Amino acid sequence: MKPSAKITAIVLLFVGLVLVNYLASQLPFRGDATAEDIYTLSPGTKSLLSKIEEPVTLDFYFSSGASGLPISYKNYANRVEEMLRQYDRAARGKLILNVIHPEPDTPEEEAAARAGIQPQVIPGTGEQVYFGLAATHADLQEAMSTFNPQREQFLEYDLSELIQRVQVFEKRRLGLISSLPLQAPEFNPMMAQMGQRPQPAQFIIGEWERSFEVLPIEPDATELPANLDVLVVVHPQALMPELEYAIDQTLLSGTPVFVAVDPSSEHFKRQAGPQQQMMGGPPPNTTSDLPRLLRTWGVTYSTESVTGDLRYGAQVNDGRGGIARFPHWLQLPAESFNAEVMPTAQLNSMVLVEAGHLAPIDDSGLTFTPLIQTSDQAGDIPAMMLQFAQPDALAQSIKETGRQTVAAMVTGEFKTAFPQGKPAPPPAAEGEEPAPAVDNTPGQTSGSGTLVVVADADWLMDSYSVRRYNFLGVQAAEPINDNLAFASNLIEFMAGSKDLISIRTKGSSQHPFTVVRDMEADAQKRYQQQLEALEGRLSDVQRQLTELQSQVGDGGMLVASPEVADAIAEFQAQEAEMRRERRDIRRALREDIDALETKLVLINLFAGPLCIGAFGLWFRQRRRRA
Amino acid sequence: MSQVIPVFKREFLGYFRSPVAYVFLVVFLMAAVGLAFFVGRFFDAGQASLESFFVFHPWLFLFLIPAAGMRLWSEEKRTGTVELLFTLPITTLEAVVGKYLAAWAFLSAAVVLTFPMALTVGFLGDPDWGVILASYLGSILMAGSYLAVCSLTSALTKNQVISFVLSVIVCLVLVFLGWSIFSELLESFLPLALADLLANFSFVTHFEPFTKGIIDPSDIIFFLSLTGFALFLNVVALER
Repeated sequence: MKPSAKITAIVLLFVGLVLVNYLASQLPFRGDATAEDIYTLSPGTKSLLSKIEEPVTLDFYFSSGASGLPISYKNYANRVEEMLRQYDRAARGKLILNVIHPEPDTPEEEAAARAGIQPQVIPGTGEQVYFGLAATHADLQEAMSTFNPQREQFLEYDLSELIQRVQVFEKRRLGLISSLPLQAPEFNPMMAQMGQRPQPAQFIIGEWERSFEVLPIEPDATELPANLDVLVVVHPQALMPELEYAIDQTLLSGTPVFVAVDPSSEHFKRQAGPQQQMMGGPPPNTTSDLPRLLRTWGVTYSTESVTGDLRYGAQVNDGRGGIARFPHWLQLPAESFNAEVMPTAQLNSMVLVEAGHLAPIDDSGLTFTPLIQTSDQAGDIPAMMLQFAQPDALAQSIKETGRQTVAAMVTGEFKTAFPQGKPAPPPAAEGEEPAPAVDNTPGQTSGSGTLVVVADADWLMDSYSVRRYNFLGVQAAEPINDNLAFASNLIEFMAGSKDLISIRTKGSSQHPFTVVRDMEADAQKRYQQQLEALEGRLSDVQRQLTELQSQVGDGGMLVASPEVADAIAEFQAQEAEMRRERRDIRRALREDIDALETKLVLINLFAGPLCIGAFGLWFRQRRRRA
Repeated sequence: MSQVIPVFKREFLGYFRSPVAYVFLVVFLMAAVGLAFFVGRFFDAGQASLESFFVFHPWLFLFLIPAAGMRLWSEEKRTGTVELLFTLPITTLEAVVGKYLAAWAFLSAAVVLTFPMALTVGFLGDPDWGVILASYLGSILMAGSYLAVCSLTSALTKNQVISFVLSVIVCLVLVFLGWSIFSELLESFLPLALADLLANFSFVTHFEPFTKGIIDPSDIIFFLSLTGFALFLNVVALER
């Protein structure tokens, strides 16, 4: 080949290379090797798309022409666009997809802003970028103001949910009774003048508000709003009997009820703080219960004890740079969730903080379906103990009772907890107007319904479910577990939209080291007795030491006899020795795991080279023979 | 192309006759495992996935594949055996493809020999095997592209050290193209469409989907087409 022909061939081939890669990037399909088909449209989405009656228009806005866009951002935009094309194909003509690349100061940019797409500012260049989706059905338009790469695992859910939302002309109604501050507190304009910002609502409210109109109900209310699609009762404290009656009647009339009760609310404990208690304030009421209702509805639950789990105890930063295992904080893996039931079928991890436990009442005639259960290494911890004891002591106090249910669904024919009808209001105090006469007509005495009870309420708070951060100037949150997914799944499920449930937790699958977790639980069990005995001896010695030391000081003068001084020195030595022993035991708890790590490092480092060495020797001998 | 197989056999077995190849394999395996355990904190992460293992592959290949590929042609050129090779009844293309496939098979064997890592996650938990297999596929394809580039630079010079340095530089650019800072630099003096196009030519951008379990035809086509292009240039370079 002549040099000029070579150059032409190289140039042509390079153009071909670029062209082939461009065409390949437009290919509409890709393989999904994940076990859970994370990157494939789920049956829920397909079912939802098949139900579209009138075409839905999707306008996907992405400012691909902006300079300085992070590569990861561009890749994510490609991923979103490709998934939208998958939707387009699956909907068989019921979706109209428009991909729009708005340039600055163009009608497209105006359209994006009008549709509610929020521009993001690229750090460095300061350019505004639109990356969002608007869905239009008839005259209803809803938008996803920005796409966030951190939410990639929820992309399919978010898209399906938007398409679903735009087809529902009236939002369903969710009644919310909560003692926990889930909703944004009222903001005083005076505070704004002082430079303070309003507190946002907890993230779960936003999740619920996507599909529901959330109607807050004060605990001192006596009635519920009419036509609720679902009723949510979170951490009920001191509800009026009339309100309890209204809840009872709501369930019996067929409206699903979700109750989250808590034997020990970490949120309220933190609110009270140790300072308040040191100043002699009364201990805060951190428990919640609906004793009359739950008992009648066939559920036993006690505020006296908290569920501890030696296996699923969460690893928590102890604030001193170390990691401690909290048996009373449950880090629940996939096997804790009932895979047979829709709302929990695809969950992978949840965190419950100081949860109680539930059990069915045998003769209630209702169907009690556990939704979330602990491991078989669980047991009770007296709620009182949580105020004083260290995690190790809590672990020691657990007497294993087997699997415990921390969330359950109850279905069937419920009976009323108020057979006498609506309770009378308390008699009016002097000077007050007497309450209006009670309508004595007996209410509904039975009815079929759906009730879900979770024996913890803290899990709904942001602190245990999301990590908030700032993404290109916009406040965003990334789920750290499936707590929010469960809360949303459950309400969607209870209110009847089942298509979205099969989509929600896709891709958030965690694959923990189960072997290590089992070893930790075993070690905890093995050293428990030793630790218990040692702690007992240590506190004896510390008590005697304190007694002796208190005899020594007398008005600031040292009057210790040599014998007493010797005894003190002896006890101090014993105390130091025992502390060392305790350290050793704690180290021994990790010993097996550390040894396993070392073994695995060595095997992995040398297994390959040994295989190669063996092959080399065999190959050499074979060559010699040949 | 009938002579490709004999060339492949001769070259492939040739690797195992040389102690250098064994040293290469041992270094590769120990570095791959060491990076995952000590830098990627594989054990502390507590997740039965090989993400912290595969994330280092583009960087590991950046130095090890040029080391393996630098002698492909430069050695033959230096000792003059390249002329001898072409006196045999084989075409340049057959020789290039044969040699390349042998080296790729050798590198693939090196990647596959990291299987104890996969067994380890299988022992420690319940990994997603589909994702692991996809990651291995991606890693082998990426190794192929690195090697094609190294084969080309090796054909350009008699000097192995120059070949090594050249291939590290070219591969480094192909890694960095996927890096935001680098693409911003490109955008500052190239039209945006062209800068985007170039940024899409990054090893990392096309390898990452595999590590998530996505097998995108466009990623496979990227690695194969880049390999094909580099091998074509390789033939052109040898026929100068």
